[in-house]
Amino acid sequence: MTGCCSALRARASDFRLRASAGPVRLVIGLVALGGLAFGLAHVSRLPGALGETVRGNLAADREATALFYTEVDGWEDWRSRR
Amino acid sequence: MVGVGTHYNPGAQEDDGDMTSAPDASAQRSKLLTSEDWWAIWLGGLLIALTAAGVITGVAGVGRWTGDPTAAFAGRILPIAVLGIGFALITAIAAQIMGGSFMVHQTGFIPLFLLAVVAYFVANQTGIRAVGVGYAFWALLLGLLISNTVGTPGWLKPAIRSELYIKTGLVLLGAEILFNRVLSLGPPGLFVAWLVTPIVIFFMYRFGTRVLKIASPSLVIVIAAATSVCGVSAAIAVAAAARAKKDELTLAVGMTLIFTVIMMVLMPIGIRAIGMDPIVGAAWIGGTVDATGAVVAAGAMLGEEAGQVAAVVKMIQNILIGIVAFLVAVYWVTNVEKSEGSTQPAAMQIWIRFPKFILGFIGASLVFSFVLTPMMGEEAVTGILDLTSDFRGWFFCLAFVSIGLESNMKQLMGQVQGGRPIQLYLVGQTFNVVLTLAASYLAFGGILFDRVL
Repeated sequence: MTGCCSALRARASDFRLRASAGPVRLVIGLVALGGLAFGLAHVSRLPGALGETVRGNLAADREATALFYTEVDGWEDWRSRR
Repeated sequence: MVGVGTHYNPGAQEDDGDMTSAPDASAQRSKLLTSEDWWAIWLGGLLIALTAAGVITGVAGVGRWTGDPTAAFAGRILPIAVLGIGFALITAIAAQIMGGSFMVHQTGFIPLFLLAVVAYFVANQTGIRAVGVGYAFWALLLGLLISNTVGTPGWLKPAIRSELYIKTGLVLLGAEILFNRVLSLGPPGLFVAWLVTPIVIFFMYRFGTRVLKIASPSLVIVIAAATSVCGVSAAIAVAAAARAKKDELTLAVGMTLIFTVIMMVLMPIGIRAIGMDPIVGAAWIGGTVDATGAVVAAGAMLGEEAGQVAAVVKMIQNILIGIVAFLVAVYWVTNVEKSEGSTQPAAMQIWIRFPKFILGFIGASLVFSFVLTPMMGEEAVTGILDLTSDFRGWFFCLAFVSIGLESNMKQLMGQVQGGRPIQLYLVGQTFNVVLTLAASYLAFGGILFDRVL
């Protein structure tokens, strides 16, 4: 009986530990994600090629994240520019 | 609901049904209302029709911001809320008719939409945008973070319909594939983009399946399409066409995002360092850098005219996405899936297996290219596409959040298969770089065609 109770208690404790680990890991993950976003937001301050490219994109307000050509500003004018 | 590691197209009744007997008319009718492929066509078609008819005149979005995060939502909260409610309603109607619950879907959809808003919010920070890390990356990471820490809540799961969101986005993307406008941009660009791309796809598919012996042909073709056509958008389209696993799409998107940033920075440096003709270099960039936005950014580093050449080559390459997705879908149902079964698929079996959303994808492209553009004029069509492309972005963002929420890091790492997918990407991209360089010299170096600039 005692062995059974202690086993149950151990399992309950393990469950509580795992349940609390999730939110802790989420908070850690969110902090890491925030750190990554903060770092990327400041890449333009870096010296060298990466910083130069990003500064160029910022200065020209260039759409560097476009997935498709219709997201690029002025795509409809490319033919006349050609 | 589809679990992690399962294939696209959960309309399993289309794939797992009796392949030996032709479906009767009533069964066929019910599939029009019960499969996510068809619902993607209905939803995409509805949004296109409402936009073309002038009923929808604007699509809310998260604004750009630099230091003040509230600037992203200034005057936008109500429109974004209305958009979210609208999406919740139309997707809940689809869910209800497909056999789910309207209310249960609604309950899960609103938080899902809020996660998509957060992804856009982070991606729209001007510094992050300028690096080229878009909403797809943040949406995936947010979803992965939740599913791999606290786990995806049960009440959220009914709204996680990544296939529906992806395929609806693809039908909307089809409208943006304007054959008539883009193909008129000129033979040199066509030569570089359309000659090299199919060769690279074929090479990478053979190399991945025969030499590297990657077990999943769908993983190979998704990586090949992302590398040779246009990064994330091509990966999405081909993954849906080849019924790739969500983990496979996630892996391909992750690789293409990382290498795109690297190539966006290094290629202009290399071109300038060796003193290459900037126009040839720009065509080289347009044909090799995966993402369209990164091509524009990298091309501009070589000068204004070079930037235009890079963008034009990429635009022409973008158009291939429709043809590649269609051919992959046909090849999959007639060859890859055939080999998994025991019998040669008859025409009806091919039709049953064929991913129907491709019909909407190709149909939207053909209608916009050859019906609406001549009928309404280029300016009017451009105005419509400005709105439908915003809808498409939201659906893709919802899809990436959903994929993240359904993904398990351990299974995702399992896709890495001893680094073979990365080897495939690197070898394929190297082949692409060499072949595109040769094609760029021939087409833009004044050898095959007159110099364009």
